[in-house]
Amino acid sequence: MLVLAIGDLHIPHRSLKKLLTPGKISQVLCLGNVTSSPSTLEFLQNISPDFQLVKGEFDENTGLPLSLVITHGSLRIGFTNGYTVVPRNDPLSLLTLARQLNADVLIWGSSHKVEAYTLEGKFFINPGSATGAFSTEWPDLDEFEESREEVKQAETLQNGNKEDSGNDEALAAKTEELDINDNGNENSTDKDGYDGEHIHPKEQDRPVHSVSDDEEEEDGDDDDLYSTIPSFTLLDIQGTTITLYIYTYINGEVKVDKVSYRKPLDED
Amino acid sequence: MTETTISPEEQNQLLQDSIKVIQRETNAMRKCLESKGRLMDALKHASNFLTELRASQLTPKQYYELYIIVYDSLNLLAQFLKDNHPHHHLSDLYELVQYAGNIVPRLYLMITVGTVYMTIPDAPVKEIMKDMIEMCRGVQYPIRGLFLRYYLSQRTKTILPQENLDSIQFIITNFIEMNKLWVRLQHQGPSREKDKRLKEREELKILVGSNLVRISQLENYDFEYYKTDILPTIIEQIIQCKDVLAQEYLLDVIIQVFPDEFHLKTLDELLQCIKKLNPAVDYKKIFINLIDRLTNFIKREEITELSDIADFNLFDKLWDYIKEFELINEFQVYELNLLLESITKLSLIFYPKKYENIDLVLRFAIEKAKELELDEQKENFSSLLLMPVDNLSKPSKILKLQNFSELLNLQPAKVNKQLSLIILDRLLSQNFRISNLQTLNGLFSLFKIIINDKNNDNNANYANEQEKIGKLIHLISNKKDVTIHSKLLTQAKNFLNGGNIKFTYPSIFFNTLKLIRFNPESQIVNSLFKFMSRLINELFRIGLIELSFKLHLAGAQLSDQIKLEEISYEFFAQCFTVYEESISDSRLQYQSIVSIIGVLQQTRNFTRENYDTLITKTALYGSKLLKKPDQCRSVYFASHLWWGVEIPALGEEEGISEFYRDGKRVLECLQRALRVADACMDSVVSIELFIEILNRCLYYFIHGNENITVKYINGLIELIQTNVDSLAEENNTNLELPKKHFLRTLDYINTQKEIDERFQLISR
Repeated sequence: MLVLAIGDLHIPHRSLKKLLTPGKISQVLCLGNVTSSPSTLEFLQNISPDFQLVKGEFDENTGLPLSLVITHGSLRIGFTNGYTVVPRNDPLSLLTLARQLNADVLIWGSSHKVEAYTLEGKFFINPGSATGAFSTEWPDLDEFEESREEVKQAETLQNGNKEDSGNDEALAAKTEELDINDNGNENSTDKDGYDGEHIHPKEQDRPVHSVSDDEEEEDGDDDDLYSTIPSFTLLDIQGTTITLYIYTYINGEVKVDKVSYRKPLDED
Repeated sequence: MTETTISPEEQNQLLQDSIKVIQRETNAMRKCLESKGRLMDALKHASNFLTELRASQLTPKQYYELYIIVYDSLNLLAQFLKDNHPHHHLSDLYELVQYAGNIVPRLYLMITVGTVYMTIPDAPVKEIMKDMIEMCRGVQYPIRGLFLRYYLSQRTKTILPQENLDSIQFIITNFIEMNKLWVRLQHQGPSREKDKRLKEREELKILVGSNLVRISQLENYDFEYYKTDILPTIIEQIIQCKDVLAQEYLLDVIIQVFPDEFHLKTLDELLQCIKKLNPAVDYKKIFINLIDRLTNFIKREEITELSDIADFNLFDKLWDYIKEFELINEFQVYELNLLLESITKLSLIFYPKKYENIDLVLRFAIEKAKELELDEQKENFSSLLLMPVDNLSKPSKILKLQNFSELLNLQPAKVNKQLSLIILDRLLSQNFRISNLQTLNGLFSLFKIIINDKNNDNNANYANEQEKIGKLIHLISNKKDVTIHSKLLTQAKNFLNGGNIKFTYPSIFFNTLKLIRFNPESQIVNSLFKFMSRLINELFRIGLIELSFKLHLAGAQLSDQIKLEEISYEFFAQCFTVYEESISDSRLQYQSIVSIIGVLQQTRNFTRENYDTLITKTALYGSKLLKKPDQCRSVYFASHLWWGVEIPALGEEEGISEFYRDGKRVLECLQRALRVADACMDSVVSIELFIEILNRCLYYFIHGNENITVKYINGLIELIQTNVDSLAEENNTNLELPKKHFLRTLDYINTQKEIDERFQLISR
């Protein structure tokens, strides 16, 4: 079964980017920061009728739970926005929360940084921000310097490089065309034969640009170097095994990484 | 012939009788043709069935039915003549059939024989053609004449000589005569049947038009001949006949059948003709057809150099005519809209960069919009306004049009808003940035009606509309110049302050924050933070307390990251003020405190003194929360404020980097949390909180906080066990969950014993 974990959309306060629309998704786990946009909420709810939502820092509805646990067979998956995890993004405090929730898998967000790792037999997933929304958390030092460098280059470049990188576009690539990099870890009991068909990118009308007018100068600033990389994750759950597909959208291309997890056998 | 009224049943009876006669006579003719030497008898039978075409009381459709059957029958005869011409002298035969008694059968036979005769080598083709076309004048009754001439046209279709212009003159003559018959039909019969006549003529028009189609298919002539001879002759006929139906139909046929390139080069002739038409003619329709043809032509042929095909300014020429038409006609708005739409499209495609053309059209529409009554249904200029949006190379180029927004704002409010939303959507689906003041002013004034819409606060549609403005704000960016970027944001705020700022200010706020993060050294960072403060304060003033708290916190977070301690401190202070004075919901209070802790814990640039002030205050707020569990958790979370841990994004590493740590204060927090937990009236809640605190202790134990000793942990475990045991006696089912949490914690301790020997000292 496929579960979509997605979060921190922050529409319209922060973001520009749209996201993929995977089909055949059985359940959507949303990590919040979404309720200010009814259209986005509706869109997510349309992906699967089984839509689960926890409260993000910018969601106003205090009635939303801060964390939830859902079960798939013997797997317990906890998820929370992450802004109430102290210290934020700290693996040991996440582990503590996972223990408190009795979760085998903990999905958290708010940092807008996609990551996945196994710790003490538990699986930790941060799907990042599906819209690549700006984050006020500490930027990654190296990446930050890199993008600042790009900004500086953009400053020095006059009118050059006006290519349409399509950053604003919905992610359009078909899964069949994607590289699936196997980052399989030691737990991996990977079945091959992932058919890749269950992901259907959102239909989108990318504007066809005619050759830009020579008189034009100001519209050339097409890329948004300032934002983080949009990402979300898809969990393919088979028994006690999860194959996690991490979708990232980098420089106009969708990249898919794969991480596998299997719940350790209960000792007692 | 006088028209007598006749019932449809009688008409049908007449038709059936005629069909019977034709079939009978056809069979007789066929038999004669099959027998040797009976051609004369065959012709006699042919003449008999042709007599049925003298009918005058049938509808055009019924007459057409007869004609079809007759045509097939005559085909038999023609084929026979063709096959047997060596035995029969066709020239003699051609003379002979002219003696047939009645004119209609006579002419049909003549054409049948004549057209076979024309195919014989050395036949006097020119004379036969001339003869036939002359003789046809003999039938002046409209329907009969039209079909006879149509027969002539069909029979000659494939055999007209290709090498000279006679064929063209032949068809033109036939066309002129047919048109006269067709027009005359209108004036036959009683005037009360005028509409019926019109309907009949409508059914017959294709017979006339087919001649023009024929001419367009011939390759005998060049453009010069078309321009100097064919077109003027046809146009003259069209103008002279003064008939509305004929003029509308035939001009349309010309426009549809002749090459578009010809139209371009004979535009003056066509336009002059349009001017001279009967005033009742729908000029506009013809004109729009013409313009659309030309537009599609350029599109289809992908002609880039207009000068290759037309050495004049097409737009100017057409525009002059439109203005002339407008003077002599009273147009409805929607009619005018259609006309202006097509000329706009033409200009956009022929002259994609001539924005002044479009402005001219828009200005014209503006004047009309002021004079005329517009409404929400069709009396407005919406499709005209969408034309440049859809056809300019980028929708954002509508900003180059100076009159666009004026016309948009003259539309009824509902139309204006619908259009604005459509335009906004198009813009948002396009890659572009708002990087100068001109673009910003242009766009934000264009969308005034959306921005200033303050209705329906709770309506999802409304929120979606406002969201689009938010997205527009995110397009504001100027990477080359921080100052310009900041001016754009200020200006955007000016546009937005009349609207519903709840939906739009946060977008400006985060856009500003982003600008600061990427330009931390800029001179204007201070003023940007002040700008952000103003945004928050305005939001606060309209009662958005929670939002202003969060934005203050975001400001605090970012300003610390770029080492602006004072500003960050001020933002935190604002958070406290909002918290203290305005946040009253207990759940929200708890979440706010946890938020502050989360952010404060990751600050890096405060002086010890300031940091201490802030964290002490935060911990204090936590300890004052209303509900004990909230209080307890806030306090144990606050313990982390005295225990910095690595932030990998900053390259920090446990054991290498230095962190702000005070193990004693951590312990104090946990102690206090424990006291609060113990004070809970619900023992199950107490136990759960104890377990949570135990887990915090393990966290610090792993981190090597020496104040959290094995003894302390053991004591806590014992405390929990005692409480669990005493409660277990009560069979409290609520205990199950904390008990399991406890067991998991103990399990964890056990697994840690294998990798960390310090854990081995923990009992159990």
